[in-house]
Amino acid sequence: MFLEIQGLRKIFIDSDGNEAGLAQLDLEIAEGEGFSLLGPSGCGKTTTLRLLGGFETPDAGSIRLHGKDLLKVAPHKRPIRTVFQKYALFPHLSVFENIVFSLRMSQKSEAEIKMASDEILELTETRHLLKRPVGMLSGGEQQRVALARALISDPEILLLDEPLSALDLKLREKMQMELLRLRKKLGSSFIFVTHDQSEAMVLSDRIGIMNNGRLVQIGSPQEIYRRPTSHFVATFVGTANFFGTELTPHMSGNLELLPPKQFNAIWMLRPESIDLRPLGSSLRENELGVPVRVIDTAFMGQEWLSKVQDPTGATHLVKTPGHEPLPGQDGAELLMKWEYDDTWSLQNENSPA
Amino acid sequence: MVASKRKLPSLNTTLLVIPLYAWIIGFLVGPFVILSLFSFNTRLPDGTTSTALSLEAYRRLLDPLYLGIILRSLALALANTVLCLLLAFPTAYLMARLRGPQKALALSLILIPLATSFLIRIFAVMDFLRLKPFGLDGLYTVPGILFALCYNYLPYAILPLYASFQRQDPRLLEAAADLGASRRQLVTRILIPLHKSAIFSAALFVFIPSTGEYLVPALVGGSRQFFIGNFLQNQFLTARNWPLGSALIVLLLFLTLLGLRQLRRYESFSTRKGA
Repeated sequence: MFLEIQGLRKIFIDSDGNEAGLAQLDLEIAEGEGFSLLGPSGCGKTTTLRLLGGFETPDAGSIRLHGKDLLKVAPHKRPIRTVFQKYALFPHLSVFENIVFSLRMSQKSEAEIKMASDEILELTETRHLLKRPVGMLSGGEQQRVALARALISDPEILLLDEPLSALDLKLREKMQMELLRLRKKLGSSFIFVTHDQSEAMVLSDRIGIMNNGRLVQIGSPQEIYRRPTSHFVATFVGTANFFGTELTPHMSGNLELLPPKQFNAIWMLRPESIDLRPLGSSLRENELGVPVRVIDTAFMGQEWLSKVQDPTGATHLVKTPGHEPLPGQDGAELLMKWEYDDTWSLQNENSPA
Repeated sequence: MVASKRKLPSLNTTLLVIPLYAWIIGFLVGPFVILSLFSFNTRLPDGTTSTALSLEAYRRLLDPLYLGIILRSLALALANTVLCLLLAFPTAYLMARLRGPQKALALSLILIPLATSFLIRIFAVMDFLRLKPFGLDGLYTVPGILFALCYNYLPYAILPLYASFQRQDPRLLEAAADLGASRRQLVTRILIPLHKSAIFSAALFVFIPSTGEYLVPALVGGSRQFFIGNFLQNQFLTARNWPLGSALIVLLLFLTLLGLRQLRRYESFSTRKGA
């Protein structure tokens, strides 16, 4: 295996006296893979990144790269580079000296520096920035310089700490594409740490969701989104609607809902899988329906976002295409329908059992 | 309306600035003009000063005896500056990394001695040297003077460096280490160039006052060690050769300003090159 993390642990006491950090992590990452650690703040994702980069020493566990113990390698000799959240460019050096810093540290010859820098300047489109002082770069330009600086020595693993959080929306979308392109071109593994789910989905082959210092689910973006294994993942990634009912495979028709508390398993439904139709509309095979009342609707451009209430009193969010007319005025009684295949069953963490 | 207000300082502003200028003119420019006038006079055998213009005082300064005193003083000040910087750099770095009560304690330990009387500090150092620390006969020797100077001026080197380290993004060191910099390279490639301005300030804060320092050589050095400060004291109070003393002050000031200008030039040059 390329990168193998086993039983990794690093606990520290935060300012409120609570334990924080990484409780336990087991993870394997493939060569050239894009992997995101996604979770709320304080979930241990940044601690993981700092352990990999060698900025912290673990309490327990091992990190192996190509089977070799990475913890025995001095941090500055690991074939791992980090792109810091706020880039941490050196203000006393020119853009060029920032980019070639790692080559200078390993005393490479001028010819080697020239060759490596030519390639990376091309790849990261930073050549036009060379003459500018670091302080005069925009956020996006700093990001490119930070990437060039980290990638110039051809690391096997690139760690990126919230790489796009400091950029505005347009630039973020552009840089996402750039990062994908760079990773494919260079073949290095990119490990992202982020709390932004859309960033994680766009950038990675697999996502690891973290909570309370542990990995709670690993999977492709589609698996994480469509097949979450816990209530936490279902609600942290995207928006989830839950309802309780007796549901048997491939049933269809109008459902009678009961308060979710009574069930050991609850059903999850994503807002965009739902359609709102006039009451009494016919249901096709495989389709399920529940009567609801519209509470509120907002126009989001691409879609209508409606909040509806089912007969048990639970509310659900529904996304319907923006090019269709308003699904219903506030207070309107409608039929909420969806296909059986779009439902996903989860262990009910609030059940009495 | 706003623009014109900004251009013409109001009466209040002028009034507020007057004491400052009065202070500078009365206690800095004025005395210096008087001193430079004195430096072109000559001492008469009866200890009074003739008002006839002459370069006699400057000619006498070139005497190897006096030149030796000047060079010895500059060398001592330089040694003190280097010693202070070497001690202050790691101290200030560690202080800036401390947190909470530990940081407050470290700062107090630096600042409290500064608040005590200079004389008391010197007598304390003298008592300490009398104990023959490190097995050396410290009192009335040049190393003893250097020790006392360093003890007195160290805070002036620590504080500007501390302020600079305090402002620095700690991630820069992590970034450099991540990019393969060894501990040594972290100091030479990141910390020193990054805090160059603070190092210059610290050096000046120590160097300039220690060139003219006279209490420390007089007390810790006894009567055996002769430096600029003692020389001046001697010329003005004992030998009553005011022209010679004044000439030395003018020369010192000239050398200091020249040195400052060169430093400035070097600093702005290397900053531009770096940027």
